[in-house]
Amino acid sequence: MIGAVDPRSSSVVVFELSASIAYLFSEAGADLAARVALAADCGIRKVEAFTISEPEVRQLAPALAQHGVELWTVVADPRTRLVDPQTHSGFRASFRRTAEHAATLGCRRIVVGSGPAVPYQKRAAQLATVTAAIAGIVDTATEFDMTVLIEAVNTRHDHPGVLFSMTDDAAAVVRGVGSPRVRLLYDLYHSITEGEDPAVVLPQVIDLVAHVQIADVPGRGEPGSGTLDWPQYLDLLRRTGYRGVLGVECHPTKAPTAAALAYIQRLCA
Amino acid sequence: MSAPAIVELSANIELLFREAGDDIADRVLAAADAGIAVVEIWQHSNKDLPRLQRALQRSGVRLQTLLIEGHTPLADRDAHGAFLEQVRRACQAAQTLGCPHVVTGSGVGLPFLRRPQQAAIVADALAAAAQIAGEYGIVILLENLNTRVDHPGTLFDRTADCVAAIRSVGSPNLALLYDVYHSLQMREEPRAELLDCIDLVRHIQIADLPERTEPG
Repeated sequence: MIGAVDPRSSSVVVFELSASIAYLFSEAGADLAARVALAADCGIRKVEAFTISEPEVRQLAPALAQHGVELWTVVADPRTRLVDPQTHSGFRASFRRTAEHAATLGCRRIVVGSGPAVPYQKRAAQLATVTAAIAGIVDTATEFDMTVLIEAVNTRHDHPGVLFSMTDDAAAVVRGVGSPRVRLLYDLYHSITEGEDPAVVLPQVIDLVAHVQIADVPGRGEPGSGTLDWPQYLDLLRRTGYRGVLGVECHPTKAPTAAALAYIQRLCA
Repeated sequence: MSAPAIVELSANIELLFREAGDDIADRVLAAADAGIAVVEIWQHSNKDLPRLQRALQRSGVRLQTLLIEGHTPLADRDAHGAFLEQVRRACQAAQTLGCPHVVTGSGVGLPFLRRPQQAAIVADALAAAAQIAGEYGIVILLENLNTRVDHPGTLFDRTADCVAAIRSVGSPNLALLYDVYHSLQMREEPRAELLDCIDLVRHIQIADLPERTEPG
């Protein structure tokens, strides 16, 4: 490999893509099974969901089996205020239900965020409380063979008020829990939107990263819709040593979704 | 090189002059003894205002700021009524004490509403608040608080957030409180920030990093 801007470098970067069916394939309507079918038509073999309800589990199970699509991630309730210790027992119970649903669907990864922060306590103390909450779900994750993916999301545009706004916050909790069951989800869109430089941040945390999500900046559209240099970022991921799946979690600016995904599919092939 | 401008210091007597005891009036007198002519307080509702007023008059110390209380999340439109009531109370207390400024932050952000929408709702609250402050001849100072160390969850955590809101309201009764400590904790470059907004700055607060102690 010659360098980050070598145009030839993109041709050697091979990543498998997963598609968020919470964001993508909305032309199929609200029915998640129909979205799975459209994803399969695009050659997508892995999809990601948001939080899933019992009816959605029943919708998804036959569609995933029929199309040979794997559910890569689901999300645990993102509104729980984990900085409040009084929420922790309820969180453990709701995480168990999410793990049961995920297991039913053959999904082995559950995304966990921090929820809202409180303004009257220092960050270090709040991170310690959230670390305790995450440590409290490790046994359940082990029982159901799940990996917990800790994710920071941006406060500058999409989620003002959350505690985990920078990659460092999520990484501190992953390190604090110290279990192989608890890993980092690095979202390139959130990281850049919060003002981080992935070339600086990724090498510092790559040993913790078990999943990466992507969208373009600004606007959170599909890769190619914004200003990011995708061959360069894919090259950065590869050079840093990431070998996992890339989850596309964006609001398509083109219809159908297949047209929006064509550019990143071509780059990753 | 021009000669350095002389800056007058004010002392927050909630944090400083604690050795004078819990009585805020005694702290005013202790500040005066130390040669401090301007002081700041946080809450007004927990203080004996006539006693504080007498201490200020006796010592000639001026009160520079007090807080609009309630920590109201201004991004929540349903909370605006309660906020404006707090604005009125703070302005009344400020008027009693001869204090020209009342201070507010934005309150916390709401994780499931985008920032531009929240900023617009906050600006509506501040516009209504500035109108009330105008009735009392008081200026509201908007302050951003750092989220990286002290106040996670706060909506306006960067100077630019406050600057945009103040410019959009465009009232002489709304100005900026620039806190060097908060700005540096957010890894801002004070020189660049101040160049962008010095026309809006009415008051500056300082503390040292990393532990928010006295300068030096």
